[in-house]
Amino acid sequence: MAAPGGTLEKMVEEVRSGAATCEERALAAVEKTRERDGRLRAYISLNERAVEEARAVDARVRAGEDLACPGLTVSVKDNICVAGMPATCASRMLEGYEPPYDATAVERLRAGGAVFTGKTNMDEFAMGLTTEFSAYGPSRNPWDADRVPGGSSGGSAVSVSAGMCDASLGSDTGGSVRNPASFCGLVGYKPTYGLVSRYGLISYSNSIEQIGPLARTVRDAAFVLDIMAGRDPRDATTVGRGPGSMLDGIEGGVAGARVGIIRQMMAGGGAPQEAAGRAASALERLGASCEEVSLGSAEHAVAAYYTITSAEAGSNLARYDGIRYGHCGIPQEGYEFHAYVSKARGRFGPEATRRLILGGFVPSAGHAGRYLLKALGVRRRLAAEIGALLERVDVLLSPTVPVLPFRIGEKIDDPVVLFTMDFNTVAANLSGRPAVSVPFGTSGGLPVGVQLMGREMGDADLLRAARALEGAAGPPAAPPGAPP
Amino acid sequence: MSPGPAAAIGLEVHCQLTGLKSKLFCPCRADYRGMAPNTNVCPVCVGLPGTLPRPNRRAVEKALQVAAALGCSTPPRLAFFRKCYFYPDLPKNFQITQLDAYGPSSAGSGGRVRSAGREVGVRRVQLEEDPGRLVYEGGRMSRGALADYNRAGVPLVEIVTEPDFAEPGEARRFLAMLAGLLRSLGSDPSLEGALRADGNVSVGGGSRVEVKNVASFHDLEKALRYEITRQRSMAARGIPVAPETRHWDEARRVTAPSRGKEEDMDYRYHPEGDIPQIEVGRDELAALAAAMPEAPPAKRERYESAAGVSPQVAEVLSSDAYCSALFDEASAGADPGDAREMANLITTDLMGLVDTAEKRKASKLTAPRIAELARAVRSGAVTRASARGALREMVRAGGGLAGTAAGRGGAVAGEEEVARAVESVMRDEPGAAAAARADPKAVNYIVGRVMAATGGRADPGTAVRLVREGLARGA
Amino acid sequence: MAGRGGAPGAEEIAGIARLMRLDVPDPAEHAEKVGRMVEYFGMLDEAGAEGAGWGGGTARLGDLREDEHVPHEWEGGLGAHVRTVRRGGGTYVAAPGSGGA
Repeated sequence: MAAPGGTLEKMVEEVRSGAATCEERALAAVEKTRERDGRLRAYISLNERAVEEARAVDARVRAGEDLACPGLTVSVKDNICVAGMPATCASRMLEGYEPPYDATAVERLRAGGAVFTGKTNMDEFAMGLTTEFSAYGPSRNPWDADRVPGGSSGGSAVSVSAGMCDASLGSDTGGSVRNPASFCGLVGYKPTYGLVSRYGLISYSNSIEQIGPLARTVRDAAFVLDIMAGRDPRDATTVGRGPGSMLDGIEGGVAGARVGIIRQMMAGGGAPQEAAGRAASALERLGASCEEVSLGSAEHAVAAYYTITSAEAGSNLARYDGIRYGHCGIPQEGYEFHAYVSKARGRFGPEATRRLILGGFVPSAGHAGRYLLKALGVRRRLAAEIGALLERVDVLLSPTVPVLPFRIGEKIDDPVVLFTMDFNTVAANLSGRPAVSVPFGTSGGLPVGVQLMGREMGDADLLRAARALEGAAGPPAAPPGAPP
Repeated sequence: MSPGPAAAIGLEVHCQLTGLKSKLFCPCRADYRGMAPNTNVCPVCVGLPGTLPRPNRRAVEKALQVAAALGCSTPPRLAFFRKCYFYPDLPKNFQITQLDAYGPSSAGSGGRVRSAGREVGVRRVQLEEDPGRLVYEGGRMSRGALADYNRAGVPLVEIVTEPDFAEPGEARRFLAMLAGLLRSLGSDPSLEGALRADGNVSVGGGSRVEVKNVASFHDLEKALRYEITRQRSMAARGIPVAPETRHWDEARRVTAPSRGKEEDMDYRYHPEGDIPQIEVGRDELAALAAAMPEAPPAKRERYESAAGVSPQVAEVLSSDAYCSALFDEASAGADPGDAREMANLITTDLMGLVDTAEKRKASKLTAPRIAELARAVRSGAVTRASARGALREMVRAGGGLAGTAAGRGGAVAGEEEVARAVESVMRDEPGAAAAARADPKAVNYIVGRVMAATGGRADPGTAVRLVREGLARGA
Repeated sequence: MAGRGGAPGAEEIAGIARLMRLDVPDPAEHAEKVGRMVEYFGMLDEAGAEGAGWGGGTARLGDLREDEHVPHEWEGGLGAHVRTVRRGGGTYVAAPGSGGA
């Protein structure tokens, strides 16, 4: 097992002790971004004041303030609000919009002394899993720049993987943190629904999405999660967290743990499925017992997922009408209200437009019975099945994504083929369970991720299992050009 | 009202919870009146991206109390839904409201309450957010609308009745009862826009027509009357009534079809995932009921059973917070007969004398005076007719019965005095006497003349009897 | 006209686009992909799981926000964050009217 001690904890200790400064760390991040982002396109906008803000944190450290994460450089997906920075959701619809407030997750990290490097690229309004559906063009995978970095938090994964920052905040609606983490060789964590406040996360499918960290190691992800997690009066769906730090028992290992391998997610026999099989064997060597389990509702999960997310997107994105905010650029004179709104909303990209059409269709009076209500039923049944499985086993294992990172433009044209990419990840969102993608080796020079799913509010236990799996995987591989 | 097939009227009422300190989903003010436009807004109620609703506990509790007062049942879990339509007064282009389509989850449903002398079904009571207000530059058809979001997010309780009213007047009386209920829960329904009602009308079991855009209860009654007449005359001519929404045109005093596209009617309801389902325990409901000031329906019940007040009088009295408070104070510990007389005095005489909030404020009448007057009427010391004059003086100047004309001279006229008055009226107005012999309804005119001649001191019953005897003698 | 397996055809797509206030110059272009998606959703019918309730989280009445007024201070004024106009001494959000051009 690799030595304990995540890089971020050490780094923060160095800043606290005065061995390093936030300013140095911010400058390093700026330098790396200058060097790599022209090609990789992780960011939509950069924080021009990052170094200045880092100096202010240094002053707080010198003044003896006890900060949780001084000098932590964090990039933020462009659908999460950072006061005074644009939040475009990678959409022309929100061009020029700057939120007046910090998301709660951002606010907590800022209070801890984090420095925000910039806002990262994504699929428009988080609708996609390749980052190709961005109004700002695709991001590129640091392991192979001709390939997609995954999505929708693709820019977040690229920024961390290429060494442009320490960690990133993504959002995970159906795998949008775990999928790019898997494609870029990172740890991506989707918390239990309600563990992290969504206040300031621009909603796509609000009943299932969570903000989650992308980082290089499990400890790093746990370190960031620990700062963000907990009840927030501004988000009524948040839940209280247990006492203690997420890091407290993280080295506890998996001896005696029961692992269920989800049969439906092992089909295909490609590199990801093979990696998942090896991961299970590795966990057995560490003292866990593995068994194959069946999750019957998995077959219908993707259909339920797209039905529910489309319906919710239909209302969540209704507020973008060009009237109140964003540089819509269309003068009101000569328009009737509805014609104007339709014209303004013509600025949504093609994928968002399609999802919104679906969002008009599936909950409509004539169709809700056949689609939305059925989807909600599948969601309940799936959640119940997962609950039953997690009484028998402690953690559920599968590949994160059924395939390896593919080439830009390769799969964008077939929506149903793209649907199958979400097959393993959506179950955690629909059921509210926490799930994590852990890098587990490479195949043909490309990273492979293994997913673990845990019990509701069992985030600390899940992180412990993930940490054990990470240790079994050996030292993390890094993409070309990234820091060690 | 033109005769014709029976009308069935239902109401959809929106009541603002004006007594709360904050909006339904954010801490901006619930009472926005008198504030400059868009000064009572925050990121949540203007719908900025990333903001989330934070439900107000008191608002939920008030809605539950309204539901309980209207005899509704409350499910163990409340849920909110999104009702989607595009309009510039809706910052999010959807309204957070409640819905029972996924099983009962509104604040209340299936209620029954007595109003206007009949049982009225209350289909549902739900809590929702008020939209903002629009000002049209140069009228509705103008090129621009100006939105003021001060009102956006104000807690609104929607009450939908079954189509159980047969007459527009009954609908108005239900609204008066509702206003009393809201007042008892700390809201002020008299504030502009705080209580808004739409109606629906069908006649002879035909299509239902919604009547909207009604500014006041008075107008609602007029609009419903117009609509019933319109539908009856269409039915009489064999023209089918279309199920539609019509707006009340105040200037022309007619209802007119609303402009609206068919596709706009699809509200795409779906669950509001930002608000957890709210668990309401039986114990919590009981505590809310216990903490609730006595609501009009309960008051009416008490007036009928304890004091034996007639159902009609009890309803009028219980619907009016000012009058019921006066009655409660005056009748405390009183003999039931005296209490009934107080109720009659208040509802038949006093309500006409103090029919505005200003007059009530200015009134010098106190509860002990009402009690005194009622006792005097019952003992025969003062007639019902002269009691009205006494009340007027008490309202104007305060003071007791002794200070009024009725109190001073005012013992009831003896039978001889009344008989003399009858004789003189019949002698002076032979035409009226002849008419009264031909038509018993004309008797009232002569009785009125006799009452005037005795300065209101005649007992009306005695006067009627003597007039009838006089007419019979003269025939 | 309906498409395959209950999927909406171009005409219905155009109607939904109007409902959703989306200018879609060529509904047929979206009809193909949306149609494939809806067709895929058809499997929900076979899943046999009816949607009784919707399975969100729960909260107690006492967990909800207390009824308190807290004024919001807009840094730099409302106009710095929301597009407003000044009319008759007040600050409003301007929207096109419903009367048409």
